[in-house]
Amino acid sequence: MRAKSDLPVVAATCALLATACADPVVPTSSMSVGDALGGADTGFARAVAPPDLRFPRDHGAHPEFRTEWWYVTGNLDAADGKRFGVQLVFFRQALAANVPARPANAAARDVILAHAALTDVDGDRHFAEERTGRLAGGMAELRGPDEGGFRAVCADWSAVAVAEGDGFLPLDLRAGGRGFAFDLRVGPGKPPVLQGDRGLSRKGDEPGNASIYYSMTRVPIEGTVRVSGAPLAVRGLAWIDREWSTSALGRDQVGWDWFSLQLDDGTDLMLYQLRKRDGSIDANSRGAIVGADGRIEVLPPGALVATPSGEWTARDGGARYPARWRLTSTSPPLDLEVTPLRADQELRVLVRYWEGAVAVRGNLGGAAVAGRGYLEMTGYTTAR
Amino acid sequence: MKLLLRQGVRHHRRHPLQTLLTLFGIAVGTAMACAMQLAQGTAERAFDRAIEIVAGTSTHTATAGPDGIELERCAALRARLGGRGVAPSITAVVRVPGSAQRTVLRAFGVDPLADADLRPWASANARAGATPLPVAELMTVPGAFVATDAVLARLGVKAGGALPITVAGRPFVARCLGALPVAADVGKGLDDVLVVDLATAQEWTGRTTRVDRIDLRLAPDLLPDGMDERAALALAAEQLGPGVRIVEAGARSGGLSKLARGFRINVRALSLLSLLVGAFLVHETMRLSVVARRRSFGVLRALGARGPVLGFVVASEAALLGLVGSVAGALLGTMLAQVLLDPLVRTLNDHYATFELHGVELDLSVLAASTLLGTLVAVLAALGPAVAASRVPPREVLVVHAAVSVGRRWRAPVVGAVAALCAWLCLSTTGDRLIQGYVGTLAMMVAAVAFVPPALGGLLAVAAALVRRAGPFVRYVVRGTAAARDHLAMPVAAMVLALASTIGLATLVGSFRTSVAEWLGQVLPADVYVMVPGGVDERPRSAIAPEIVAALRGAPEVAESTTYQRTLVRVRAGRGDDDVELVGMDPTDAVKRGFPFVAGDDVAGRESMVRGESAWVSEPLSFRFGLAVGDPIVVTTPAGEATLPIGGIYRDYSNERGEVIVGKAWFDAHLTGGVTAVSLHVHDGRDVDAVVADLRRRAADAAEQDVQIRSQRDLREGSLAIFDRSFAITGVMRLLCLIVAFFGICSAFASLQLERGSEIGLLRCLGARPAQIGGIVLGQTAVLGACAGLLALPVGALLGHVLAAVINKVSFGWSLPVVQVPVSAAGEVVALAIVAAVLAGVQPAFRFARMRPAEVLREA
Amino acid sequence: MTASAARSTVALRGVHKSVREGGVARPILSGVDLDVAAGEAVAILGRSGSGKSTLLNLIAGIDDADAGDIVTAGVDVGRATERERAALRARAIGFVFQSFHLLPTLTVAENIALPLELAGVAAAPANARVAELLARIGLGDRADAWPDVLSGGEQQRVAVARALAPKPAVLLCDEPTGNLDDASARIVLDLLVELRAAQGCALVVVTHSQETAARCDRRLHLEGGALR
Repeated sequence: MRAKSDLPVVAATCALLATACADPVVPTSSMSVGDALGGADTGFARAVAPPDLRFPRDHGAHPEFRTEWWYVTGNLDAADGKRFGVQLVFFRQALAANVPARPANAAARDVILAHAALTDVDGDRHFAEERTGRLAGGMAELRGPDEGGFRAVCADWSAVAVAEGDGFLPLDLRAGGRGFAFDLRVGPGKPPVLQGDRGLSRKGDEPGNASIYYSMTRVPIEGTVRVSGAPLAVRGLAWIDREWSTSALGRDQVGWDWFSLQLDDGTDLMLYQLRKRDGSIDANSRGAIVGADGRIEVLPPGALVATPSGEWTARDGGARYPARWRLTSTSPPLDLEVTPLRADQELRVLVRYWEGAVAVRGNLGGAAVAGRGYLEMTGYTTAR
Repeated sequence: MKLLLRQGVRHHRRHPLQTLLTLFGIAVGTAMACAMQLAQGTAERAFDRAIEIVAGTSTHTATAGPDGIELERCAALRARLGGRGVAPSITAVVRVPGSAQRTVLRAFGVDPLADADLRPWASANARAGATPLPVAELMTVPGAFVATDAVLARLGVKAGGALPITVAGRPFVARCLGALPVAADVGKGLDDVLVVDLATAQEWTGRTTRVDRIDLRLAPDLLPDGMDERAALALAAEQLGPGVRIVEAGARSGGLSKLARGFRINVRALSLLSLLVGAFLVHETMRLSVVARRRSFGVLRALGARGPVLGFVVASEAALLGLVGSVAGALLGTMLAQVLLDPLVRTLNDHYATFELHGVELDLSVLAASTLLGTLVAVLAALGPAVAASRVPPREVLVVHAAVSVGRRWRAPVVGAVAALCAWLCLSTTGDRLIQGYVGTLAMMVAAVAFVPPALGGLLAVAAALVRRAGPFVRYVVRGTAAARDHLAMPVAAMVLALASTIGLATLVGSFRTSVAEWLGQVLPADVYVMVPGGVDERPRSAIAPEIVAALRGAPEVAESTTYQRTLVRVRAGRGDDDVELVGMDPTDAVKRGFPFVAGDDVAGRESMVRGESAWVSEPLSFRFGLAVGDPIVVTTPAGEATLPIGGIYRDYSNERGEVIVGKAWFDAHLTGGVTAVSLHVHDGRDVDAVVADLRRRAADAAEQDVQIRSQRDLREGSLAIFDRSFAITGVMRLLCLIVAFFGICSAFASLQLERGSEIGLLRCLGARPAQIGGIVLGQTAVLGACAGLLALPVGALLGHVLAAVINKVSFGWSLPVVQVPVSAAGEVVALAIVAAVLAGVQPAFRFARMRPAEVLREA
Repeated sequence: MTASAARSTVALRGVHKSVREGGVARPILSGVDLDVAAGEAVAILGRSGSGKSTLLNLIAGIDDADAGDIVTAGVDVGRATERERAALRARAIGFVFQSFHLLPTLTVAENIALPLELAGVAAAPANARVAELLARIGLGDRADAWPDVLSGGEQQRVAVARALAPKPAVLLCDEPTGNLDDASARIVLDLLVELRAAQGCALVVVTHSQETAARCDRRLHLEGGALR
């Protein structure tokens, strides 16, 4: 499971579906799936057992589930040493499980929401925008690998599988907005690893409060980014997450912190921790380590501890996030400092969250390691 | 200055009748101006708001005739323009059958996922407090809508309720999701709107792959880096194709102003007229008060008051009267505005099927401006008397007979001649310049007023000659009036002005109605007419189901038929370039011959249209675009531009924007569009009403669409009823004008009589009985009233002709073949003049009759 | 202009005036000389139409002389602008008319206050002055009455008070008792003499009344356009 992207999309969904949501930028328990979706999640499939995933087919959409996403984050370097962080995500959100056949070509069952962000670390700039569109009439598109190659389009943004690939990777990503743009090709790299219990990622104690979740934790990415003037050639490492679900979060979960770290010894580390209303960490929080050989080791609950320090406050005072993190574990022995490459990597779109490139330094199994990664922090908005 | 002003105010308090009438005159004039401004402002603001809400913050709007734009083209454009500021929408006219309320609404189909940058209220971001727009249900439930609380209350539906509706005659069920979460100011602009998803709107309009329009915000904050507005516009034009027009936001809202212009012209002219009458009342009041206080002013001068100070005092008194009157008028105006709003909206509603207004919005600036206007007019009107007051010489105090100073008599004919020349120049070269038409009309009225004094003298001389053999009493009445004609010229002139205006308006409306009735007789030669119910703005889009067309044309009672395919196309011709309604038609002989040509060959011109070799244009279009027979018109078609020469120009009162008629063959070769109307000729001898009933059954069997099938007689009567409704407001205004004129006359004549107190006293001393005194007073005012009424007739007739031939033509582009003064209006005006004049005499008559002679003498 | 004329409150030298009647000029005054010293009372007697009222109008600058010089209270009336003449009348001349000419829309007190306002006297001293005059003319209790409820004698007393209110240098009276019965006339006359004497202003009174004339320092007759 990848809990990290859950909050934004739930909040976005909530905003769209107009049920008992409060202001979406204030994460409260009313943003949990049960409240947000009410009875409207009936008719959808639920993640109750480990799935039987086949690739490339399952890189495509699973409309029987309510929510699904294609999530790419990456750390990029230019030839002159300039560092960049990039994020592009396409969410598919079903508006209803069953809709009647309708003559109108604008009639849609699903909508696509997309977020793109680019961090220019050395230029000290951060850009983020969103796009939305109905999956109808060409306003947005979503096509599976077995329909002539994967293709997700929302307005002017796209993720399109290259014709020579396996139908999903390599994937061309194109997005941009005011002041920024990128045109990147990702993968292939480490093959997909199944998170949680063979791909079934539990999020809450209730059965069905779970998602199907797999990751490609280390895939090469290269292309160009543009923050001003001419495009700049860049290359680096990306992390692709795929997840779909119908209901996920529990009532008392207020937010989470998600880490995807790529260390220079070839090890990749993933941790999400679900924070509860009372400040404690939910027992369904999980971490996993993917070795250089591509094998995944799912860590037992509580093995990996993330400790925040410092504070960064958004300019408008609307949110306060931890400024740094320390990840510790005794088995395997691990002590890592996680520092954002730029303090302000907050996305203020339909929902508000922090997602950005980080640097990692410390030791793992007794050896000094360093690396890069991405960090997502949700549920830190201050009540207004 | 305090005491000087005080004496003036007290003077008016001592003449309460005169003062009250003056205040009333100013109040009514101000009230009418104010009411019109308020009502019109309310209507315009509501309309603009509706446009603004719908158009959002867009900088441009793309439209493409009745067929609309493919949604996929819109999507592609959105991708190329950086994904933001591109919002498609669809508007459909929705009828709610069987409801007691006004049942026409607009369905506004939006894409909540594309609207965030243009119409935040219709986007996924929309929320009022904790309530967001129910986007998911809106998009997935067919027929789902949200609307403001006001609309829901009016329709009597609640969240979860179903509302049966028809769109272009086809039945649907609208499903209410609840109230639209919007702020009050936005809500006001959505007062007649059901907000639906694009998909629902596509289904209701039957154009399932298209949208009506795309609102674009081609602004730097939304365009992709490096793209400016021009580049974006070029890109949009290229992406959307040749059939699509992109207009700037500013160009959109002219609609109401254009369409309601005729209405405004009427009312504005009338309110100015009533103000003019009010001004005249002030003038008279101040003039009389200066005359009455001439000796006092002389004393004041002898005591050392300077002339200009006295003038200032008089002007101040007028300003005070004006202020009090116009404040009362502004208050009265807010009430009157409510009365005006309904006919105004009804006039608009024939153009905008869904226009809905609830109550006048008070605009303080209008109230302030009206008050200022009323005061200013009062001061201006008092300038003459003020100057006269300032010129009262101090020795006046010693002059036994205080002569009334009147304007130098040579001036009037000179002014009249100059004004008449100016009027002739303006009116004969008006062209399409409305302002010039007005200036000319005004000059004509000035000329008429200037010629009133000599004309009055002439009339009175004639009257004096006529009563030469009558008894001394009658002769005294007539000669007394004639002797006073210099004093009387101004009030009579004002009265003539007011009365002539009402005659002019009655002439315009009456002639217009006659012309329309005649035109309807010519233009509707078939027996039965079939169309989809709807207002003008939806007309071009509402095609009749082909099954119904076939069933009706094939009915055994039907001998011949004509089909009409109405659409909206871009037409370039003469000096014009605009979207114009175009009708493709395969006329029967009767229909073909029925169109009343104002220009063009009666045989060849008609035939060439049917063969597809020429087009007919309506008179308003020919006027608007400056077209003559033989001129080419260029029609934009999906395949490019197509040119046709004009074969004929026909009279048309149905569409002031103008329209084009082409042959069916030409239409089908160049354009697309279903049959929007059918006219049927029934076999001779059949009972048309029975046939209509039968045809209705056939239509109902053929397809599920509510079409209007009406007999020619029914249609004609309906059209005339609409006409009468449109001009109902003119009737109201005319009545008000008459009331003002009435009180103006009363006031002026009553004060004139009161001035003559000493003469009356003398008559009493000589032995005249009270009844005889009453008779003299009433007789004189009646003579004056009759003179004013008689003089108003020719002036009114002239005005009516100018209104019909110049103003009407400039405003609407249509000419009236018949212009005649309605006999009833003429009689009404003369009667009113006499009655008002006699009533004006009643009060002084009683007063003099009751007074003891000594008192009357001292009164002087 | 002689030295004595310069010292006079009213000085006329060689004043000519004619009026047009039916296109023919009829001379009314032909070479009038008159000096009225400060505080002096002069009665001018003459037949109706002899030009007595015209003479007063000329002194007040209400009418223009055809020839000659007129100096009133130091102002060369013939050369003064209308503004200066108005100021002269407001400040230095009091007028009493045969038919009173009180303003009907102002109360008794307001009528008396009016010339003070025209002369630019502030409200407080003006009110005091009005009260004082009202007491002097014995109408202290009628201050707020309208002129038309007063008797003729009372009205003329108010007119006298109004004329004297701004303490003028010269008082011009045109048949002040002409419309009054003997008793009333006497009261008005007493008042005129008394108040004038108290203020020391010059008086020019045009009258038929021998009794009025008798109360003056000098009596002149206007005959054939000249004073004797």
